Amino acid sequence: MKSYEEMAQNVFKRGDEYFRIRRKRSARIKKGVSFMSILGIFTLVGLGLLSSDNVNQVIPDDTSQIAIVETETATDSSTTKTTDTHTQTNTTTAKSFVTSSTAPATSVTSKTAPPLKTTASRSNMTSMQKIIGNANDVITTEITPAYTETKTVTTTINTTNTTTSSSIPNIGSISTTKNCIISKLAPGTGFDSITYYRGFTEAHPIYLWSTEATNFYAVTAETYEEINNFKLPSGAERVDLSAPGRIAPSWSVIEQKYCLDELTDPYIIVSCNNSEALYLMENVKAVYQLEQLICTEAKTVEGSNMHYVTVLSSKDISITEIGNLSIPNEDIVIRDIQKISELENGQKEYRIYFDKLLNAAINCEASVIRHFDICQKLMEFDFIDTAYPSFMSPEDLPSITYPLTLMNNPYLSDINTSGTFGEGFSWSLSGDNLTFSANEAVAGSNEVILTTGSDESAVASMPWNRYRPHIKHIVFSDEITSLGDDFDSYFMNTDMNLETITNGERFDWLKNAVLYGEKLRFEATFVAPKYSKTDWLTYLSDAAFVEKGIAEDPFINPGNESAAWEYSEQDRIVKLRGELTNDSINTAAMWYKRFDCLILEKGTRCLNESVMSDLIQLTVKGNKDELVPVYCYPDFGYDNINQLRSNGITVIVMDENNSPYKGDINFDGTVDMDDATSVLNYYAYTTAGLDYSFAEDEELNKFACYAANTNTSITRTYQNPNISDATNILAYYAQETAGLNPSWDSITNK
Amino acid sequence: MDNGAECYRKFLEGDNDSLTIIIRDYKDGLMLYLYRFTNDIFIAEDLTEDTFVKLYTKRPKFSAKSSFKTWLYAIGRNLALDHRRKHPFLKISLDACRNMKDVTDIEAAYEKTERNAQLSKALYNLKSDYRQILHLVYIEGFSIEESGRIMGKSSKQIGNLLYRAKKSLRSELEKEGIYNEKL
Repeated sequence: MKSYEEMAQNVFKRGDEYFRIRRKRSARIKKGVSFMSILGIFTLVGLGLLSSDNVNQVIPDDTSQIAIVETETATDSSTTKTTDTHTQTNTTTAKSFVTSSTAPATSVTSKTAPPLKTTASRSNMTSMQKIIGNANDVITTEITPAYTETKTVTTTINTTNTTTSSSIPNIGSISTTKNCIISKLAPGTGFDSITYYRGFTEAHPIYLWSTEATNFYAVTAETYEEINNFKLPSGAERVDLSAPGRIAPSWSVIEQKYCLDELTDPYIIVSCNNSEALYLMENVKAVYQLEQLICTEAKTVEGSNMHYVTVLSSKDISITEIGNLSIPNEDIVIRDIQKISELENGQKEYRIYFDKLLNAAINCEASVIRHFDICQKLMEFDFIDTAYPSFMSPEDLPSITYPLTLMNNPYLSDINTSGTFGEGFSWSLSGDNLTFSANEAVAGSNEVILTTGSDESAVASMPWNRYRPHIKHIVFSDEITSLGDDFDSYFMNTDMNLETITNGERFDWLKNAVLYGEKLRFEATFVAPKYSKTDWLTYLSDAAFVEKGIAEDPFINPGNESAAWEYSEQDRIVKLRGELTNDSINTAAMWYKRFDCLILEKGTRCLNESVMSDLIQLTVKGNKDELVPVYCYPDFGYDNINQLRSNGITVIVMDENNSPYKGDINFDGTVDMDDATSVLNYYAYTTAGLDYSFAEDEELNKFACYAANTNTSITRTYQNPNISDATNILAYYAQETAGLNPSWDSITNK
Repeated sequence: MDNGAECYRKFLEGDNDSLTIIIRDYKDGLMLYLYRFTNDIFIAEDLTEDTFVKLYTKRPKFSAKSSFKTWLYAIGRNLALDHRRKHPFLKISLDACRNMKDVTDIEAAYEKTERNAQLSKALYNLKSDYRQILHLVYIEGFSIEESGRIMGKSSKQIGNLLYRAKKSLRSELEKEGIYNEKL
């Protein structure tokens, strides 16, 4: 590590080197430009290319109303000749002339100027489609050669009523690339767990079990098309499960995901000898439902050896459902159960009788295990018949084959359970609705944070967890204001397939959840009635997005021209406007990875470096080594444009016919003497057969050439800038300085 | 006391020694912050030097809307962002790993306390944004607002980022058997 002295030494050394190079370069350019400018002007004068037409045209009628602006455009120390450019303005007509100390009042005109050619070294530029966003006009600017390398600028306007979408290149919809996957499932040995990923949908288990099935095939794909194009392999291995020594099959689980585009479930194609023996289950409600009972007392029945505990249950229970009555250090046999009463709060009081002396205290634990009918037969409950996929038919297979598609859990509508947790919270599950609420004591607080009061894993062990795959709607009651860490983590990491989240006005958690949400599943939040995105969503980390995006736009496009940004999911475009700020850019960053083009609308400004840095970062497309192109207008600023380009970003500068930017050669937002001088320099250089560039950047130089062509409509053929362009620019500047409202049409007499 | 603004004013008036003072006062802190950003101390050192070179050559205007330190760190961060864009796939070099001792030395000298040293080690495994915000707030003592200025985010975003970062840090510390209830 360097000491600060060493670092300071390096800093000064590098800085001084920087200044030295800059001075050297500046001197060289200045000297060359001065000399060549004057040489060019003299050459023109000598060749008689300049006529007096323009002078006659521009000499003011009333000198008392003339405003004179002088500027020194170039000085050659060896010749000490100075070119002064005067702009004179009349209130009614704008006229300008160019003078020289050695050739005063020489008139200039473009009429006799020969076609200009340049040997400028420029690479070919492909046609560009450019977008003008704020006028619903699509301007297609095709830059083709007018230079010696056959470059012309031909610009045509196609006015349409469409938005910018039509002109954005290569904006495709989400495509799927995954191939079909077929897994041979060998009953008896258990199946490997197969996981198919679809963005933000998580495990959705299918249980298969069979005693006599021969071959199982699980075919899944992203789309129906892929399924239908799938070729089933021949020669399926037959497994005789009834063979001696064959081990009975075990439960196996296939975890599958919904498909990306069409939300297709996978086909489960089952080939078996005896369908009666085949069981497939999808999302069984629960193999068992465990309910902890609250023991309120433990007593001995008078006159007998029977004992009982009194328990409270939220539901009716029967003796067959009591799977466990756990009393520490006691083995008991349950004999009977009797319902004693039903309390006002809905709880039911039962006595559970057993035949062993009870030494335990009243705090014994009891539980009920309710068994359900699992493993319903194949065709009865869990699957529905569907058409065979195109790649197979029953005749192709030696035994009975069922093409199946999952259906909704038939038990789901039966789910109706509830409970309490934490300090003062309760939950209830009805069908696919999970509701959390707080009791009155808690609800009165200013801040009601839903929490188990324990660690994160406590939430995962909550009773509703087993229903996770079924839960589509979550309701946080009005009094709940936010979620504790445990809940926060839980919802960030569970596999619920939420559709809506409803919450009270005071609820604030979703903002945080989405803000750094690792799951785009929280699209669900966007359809929640309490929220609209623009009310609160200002930033999404890239972690919130998945690689492939989603099938439909969960967000609302603000579509507001006064907004600092706008996003079109359909076109995958982000537009920024106005003065850029870190906030506005970070807002647009919510579409990170989800746009192919960044448009800076006319008038967009970037005034500080931090904002520019964020803007550059915004163009990085996700985690790929790819930058999205930026479309902007010249008023975004030459330096800014160059800075973007120096970072490898493709910047396409757009312009409109008769825009105030015509004539603005240096893109500083104004048409002034500097621009006219640049054109004169260009003319001088190129006429002398020398190279001249308005800007170092190749593409920007082309655009500058176009901007310099004041008398060339974008619908006309491009011509190189010449003296008349310089004159026009001066005229424009003069009129503008005089407070008139100049237009290029009037100046160029169109 | 942050006398960077005064030094910088003198530097702009032609006193190069003032820039040396700035380098002396801010070098280590800035380098550590940039190290949080890059996780590579050598790159961080280069970026730190680049930051001061930028002050020297470009002489950007300090408008005093924030503290000088905040402003300086923001410049450094922008340079780090540029660097990351230009070298998106740059991995930490073996040398950088071997020279973790250098980092530790700087941290020890700069942070002084054991608590911060522990924190620094845990920070290494966090995401860049997390490292940065934790460094700025807990090691440098920047306010939320100041950190927001440096990182180019709103206070609200910083608040949320900090929340996540703390959570992540807590998890990292717990892996090491360190339980910090304050996090």
